[in-house]
Amino acid sequence: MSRHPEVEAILQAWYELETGDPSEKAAHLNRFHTLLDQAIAKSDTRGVSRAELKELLADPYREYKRSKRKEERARISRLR
Amino acid sequence: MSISVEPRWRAVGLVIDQNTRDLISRRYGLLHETISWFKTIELFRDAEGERMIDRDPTPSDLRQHKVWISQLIAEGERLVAEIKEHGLSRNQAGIKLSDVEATVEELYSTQVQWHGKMTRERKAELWEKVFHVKAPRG
Repeated sequence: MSRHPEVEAILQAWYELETGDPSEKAAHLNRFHTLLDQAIAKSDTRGVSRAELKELLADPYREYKRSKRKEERARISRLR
Repeated sequence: MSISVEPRWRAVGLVIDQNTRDLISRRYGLLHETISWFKTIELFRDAEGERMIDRDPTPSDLRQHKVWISQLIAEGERLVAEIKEHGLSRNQAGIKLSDVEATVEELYSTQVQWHGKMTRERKAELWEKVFHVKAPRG
């Protein structure tokens, strides 16, 4: 599946939260939650929680992290 | 009977256990304990990446992950409570209470990512109702 831009933005924000400096965690969390809340606000159903969206995105997020780790390894090997 | 634990997880567990003991005994002070917690999360993320992202996790990986993330969350919650009571001194790393709280939330997100119980039917429903697409295969 080619990625949905809204989903892609959420996955990126989640990744930045996990990998950002400790002193930037609060700012990254704010961005992540804002994107989740926007998706919830636009949805066709009521009562969806942030936690449910995170669980929904579990597998795409794992794939996103896997591709980021591959990119990082390739970048490091080019530097060597 | 001894239970075989992959060395990466064993290392994570040993560090978390030591941090917990230090935090309870207030051995090194709140700032030091907070920084140790952040460093332990990095160690945990390394193990998670190697064992669960780069490859498919085994049932043992999932069990270890579940145990250690619960303990990191508990330690983080304890740190938040201590910092609210005593404050966190200004520090070179620029870490604030809000960053510790955000990191606890990050860990809860990881917990639900790996150990949630959502059914395939609910996922299919949410993909359509929230993102207006069919659930990705997988």
